[in-house]
Amino acid sequence: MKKKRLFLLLAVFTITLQNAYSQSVIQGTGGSTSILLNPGTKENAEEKKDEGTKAADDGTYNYTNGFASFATKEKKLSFNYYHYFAKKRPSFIAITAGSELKNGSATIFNNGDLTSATTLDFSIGFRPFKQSNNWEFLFKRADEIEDNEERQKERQKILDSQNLKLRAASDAWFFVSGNLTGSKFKHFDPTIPFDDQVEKEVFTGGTLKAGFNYWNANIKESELIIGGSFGVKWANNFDDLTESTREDTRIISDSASGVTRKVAAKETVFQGSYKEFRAYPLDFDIYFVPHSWGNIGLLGFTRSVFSETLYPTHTAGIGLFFCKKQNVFDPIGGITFGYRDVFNVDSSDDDKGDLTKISVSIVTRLNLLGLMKKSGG
Amino acid sequence: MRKVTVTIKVSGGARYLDFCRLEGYKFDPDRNFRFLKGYWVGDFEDLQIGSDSDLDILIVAAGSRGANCSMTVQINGGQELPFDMNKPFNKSGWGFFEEEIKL
Repeated sequence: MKKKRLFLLLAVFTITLQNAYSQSVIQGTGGSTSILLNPGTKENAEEKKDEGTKAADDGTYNYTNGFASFATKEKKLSFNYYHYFAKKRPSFIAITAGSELKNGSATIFNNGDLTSATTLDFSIGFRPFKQSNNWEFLFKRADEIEDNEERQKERQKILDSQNLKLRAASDAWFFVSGNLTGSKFKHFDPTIPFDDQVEKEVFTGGTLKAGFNYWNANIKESELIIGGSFGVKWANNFDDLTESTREDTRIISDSASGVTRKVAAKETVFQGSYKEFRAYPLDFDIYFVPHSWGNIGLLGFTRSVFSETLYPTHTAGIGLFFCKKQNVFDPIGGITFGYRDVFNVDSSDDDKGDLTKISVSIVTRLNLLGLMKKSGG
Repeated sequence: MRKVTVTIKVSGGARYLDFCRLEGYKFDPDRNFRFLKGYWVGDFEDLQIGSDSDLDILIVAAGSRGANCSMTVQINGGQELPFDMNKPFNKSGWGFFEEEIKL
């Protein structure tokens, strides 16, 4: 049985190993985010010296990179493919393939009965704005200095100057993203006739949303990334169901010998009022790194879901993230805390206490793949 | 006047490039650099070199404060010469490369 469980976990892992890697380590406790980071760093972009680079026939150039990320709370492993190109303005396409275990952490290794969900995400974005300065004008005096060292000192002084009203570096991206999710599980309803109590549910859902990202290198002595998105999703309330184990027991007796045998079959089922619905998610993220904090960044996020059939839910949270070499676009991991149903709209869980609404998630980035792709190929 | 073909690669630590001047000629980074294999890559053909026989490069890049960035310059398909940014990106997110490369 243990070998079967390990094999199933390995299967979940390897199925998603075919495609690339995780796009954003900066995410809330639900494994979602409205912040899209740059393509990977030099460490991820290993150059193969025996391969040349050449332009595709249409004049665009391609870049691919890969890394995986794993979120503990959601038991989710995902990989991203990121394709950057620039014709009229910088743009990107990103595709994520992921697999998530729906079982509770305590039951994963109990009976080997894993319930998984597969997702396929895509994003398309472009950059309508970047902050620029009139460097030709700003460097005019420095250009006249003959000595190299003195000239570079003067340029650096201009870059560091607070008096020249130098605009801090910043840019903005717009994006459209969507995903398809598929999952199946066994729903248990003890209130209906015995033969119909366990029903296999197969669900296909999806999301389509539009959003923006804004980065600024210096606002109030902090570096800042803001993200927001709004969209529509087809979802179910699987996360509200209670995981349990169904055990069917049969007694077989042998009339000749008088021996009775008890046969038990166990399987994981999910209990509760199951619903499929259309909802409208609204997400905000703000990720900032105070200049004096070095490699540590703070994340604040909200996740709101509006629905025609269910109560609107609002989750708010905070997170702490750690960057590499003070690069906010290269976070290596973090921890987030989320509080579900901030305004207590859903009173059905009032008897359970506030602590049950708090969730914690740890996110790390593992660099497993270094895919390189020739331009146009 | 001598003409050369130059390939410049700036590492992906730069969020974007904001200014590029080669031998006194200004080039729009958005049109002349593309993001390829983790680097901003710019190809410049038939670049006219002045009488001083130096290739003068000035590039201003934007990036995360405190992060660093590197550049390589390849002339006429020769060896890639490595260079570092003058200093890491400052707190306004700016850094620059300035080099005079003897030909």
